[in-house]
Amino acid sequence: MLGTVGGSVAAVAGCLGGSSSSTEDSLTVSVYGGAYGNVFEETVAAAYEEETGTTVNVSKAWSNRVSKLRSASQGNGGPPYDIIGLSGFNYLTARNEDLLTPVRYENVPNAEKVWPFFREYRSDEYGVPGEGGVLGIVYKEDSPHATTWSEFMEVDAPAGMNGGYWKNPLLIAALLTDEADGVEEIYDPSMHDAMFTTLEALAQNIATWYRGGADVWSALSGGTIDYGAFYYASGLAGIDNRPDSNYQMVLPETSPGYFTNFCVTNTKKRDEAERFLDFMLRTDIQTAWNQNGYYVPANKEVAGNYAERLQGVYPETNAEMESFFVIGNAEELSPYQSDLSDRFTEITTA
Amino acid sequence: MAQARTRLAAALSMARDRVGTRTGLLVLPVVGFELVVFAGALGYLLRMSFYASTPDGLYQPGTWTVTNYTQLLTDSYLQGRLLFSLQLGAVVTAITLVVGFIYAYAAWRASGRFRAVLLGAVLVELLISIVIKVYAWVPLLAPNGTFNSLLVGSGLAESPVALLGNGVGVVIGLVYSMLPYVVLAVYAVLTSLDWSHVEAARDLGASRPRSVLEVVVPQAVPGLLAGGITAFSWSTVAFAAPSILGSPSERTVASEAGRFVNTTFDWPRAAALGIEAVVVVVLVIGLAVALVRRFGPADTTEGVL
Repeated sequence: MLGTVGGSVAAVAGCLGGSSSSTEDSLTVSVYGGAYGNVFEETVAAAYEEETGTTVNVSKAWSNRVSKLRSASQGNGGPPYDIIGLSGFNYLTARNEDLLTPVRYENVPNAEKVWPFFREYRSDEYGVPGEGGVLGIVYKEDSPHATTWSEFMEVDAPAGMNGGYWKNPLLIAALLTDEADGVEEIYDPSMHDAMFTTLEALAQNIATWYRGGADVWSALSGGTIDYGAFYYASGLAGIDNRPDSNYQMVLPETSPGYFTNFCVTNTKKRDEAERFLDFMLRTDIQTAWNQNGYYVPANKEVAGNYAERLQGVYPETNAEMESFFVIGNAEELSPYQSDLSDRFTEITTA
Repeated sequence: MAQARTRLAAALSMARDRVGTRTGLLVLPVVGFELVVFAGALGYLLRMSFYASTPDGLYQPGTWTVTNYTQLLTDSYLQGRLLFSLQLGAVVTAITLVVGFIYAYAAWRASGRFRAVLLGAVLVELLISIVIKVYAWVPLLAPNGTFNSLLVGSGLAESPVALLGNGVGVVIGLVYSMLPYVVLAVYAVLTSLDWSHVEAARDLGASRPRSVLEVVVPQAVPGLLAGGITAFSWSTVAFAAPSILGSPSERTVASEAGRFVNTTFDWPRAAALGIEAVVVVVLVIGLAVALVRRFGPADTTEGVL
């Protein structure tokens, strides 16, 4: 009975929202929101449309994407997306909930060009790595600001950090905690107290725990903060869009980061979706994506041709790539994620 | 004569029964809609709250447990968020009722174009998405925004006042969003009020404020109650305004449920929190209605609960 009700509601939602299979010559791709989604739409999706004639609908959102995929899968209209870009716990949960279809790598030959680090860090069975990103510090040029994570606790100026998601702030806290090497503290429950003590000290200087890109820019322009942690690529793109501002970005030596696996859902358009993934990994497309959006390309052939302002900033070998990214391993963190999220939220709410 | 009366009474009774049956049939589609959309969704939520959580997915199908509720009720942080949400709802409702009553009274007493403008303004606000309305407050309340420019420029404040990223911003955003529901509910009641009652009070020596307080306000209680219930139930579980205009300190139960759904992927915990919020809000509203029935003007809660 309840399943029927859920299915009916999902079916109604599908009718209203339109399912992925509504048009034969189209693909629906779900990606992150903000500047990321715009660059993806203008660079990757538009190039695919031009070359193949297939319409690519880009669905942009920061949250609720896996939940929406899970809810809509109960209806008869098929999943709301044919392809979805996921990282961390979103990727893990979507895999565990059987919302993704394994990638047939014989249909994605360009995956051979992906950095081994991206392919081996976590299973790429359900999604090809597309791009990555690391956290930098955005600041007002004429105001005091931090250039390293430890300076977040030292500089006497209002700072901002993402409070919507616990992982990156906790990775920063782990980096600044000396109980173990690197960010090992986050994986060891016996060191969590020490890590949270560091976070509490860090929180003393945080004027705003923002929830997304839009909040960062409004906090900067509104005068609430003078600097804050923000994704390096999105920050550079945001600064490009604000030519009259005096904002700059700096990338600390070691930073939390992510990379995205682009996954095929349980769609009927599996062949077309895999064609899109192969296209997305092509060297010319990856180069254009990097030039326009500044993300770290998954394709190793782009190294050496990064956008001018990224020359010497982004890694050019697999070994450099490994040390460049500090990624919280979702599978290892899974047993503690609820507790870590609770404790983090409690500190940011205090 | 007596026989004719009996026949007439019987005929009237039959007519009443027929009309009653037809009226009942007319209500059936609404009842069906409510059952599927409201009761169905609530039932789904209730069932979800009894599934066991799992770190490997959203929930464990086929399980039954009360752990989500026992953990929830012993979680001082989440109970604190629920208490904060109730306080936020109460403050927003109180301010909205006062401002809404004054606005509705002004619209009722106005005439012609002025009345149309006043009512049109609240109707137009209803046509705008709540997220857009809330975002519109960001540039207005920012430290270097419109309001602070006015405050500092006019000399009322020496430096910008914190209006954004705190409870002040959230309350302003919520009051603005809830105002149309209170204004329209109160205005609808006031239009049925006979102005001569107010005039009679004034003829008997009541001042203007006293005549409003003792004649208009008691008559407006059904509208105030309906608007107050809407404002309280919506603002207690608000999501957009606390997210956009507040800081993490203004996290409501809806913010926490959103975190469990989208961040930690613990749907049973989110569902249990949602059910607890529904129960508490209904209890508070029930208590408020009971108090109005006990101490308020007679018959003012008819049709409300």
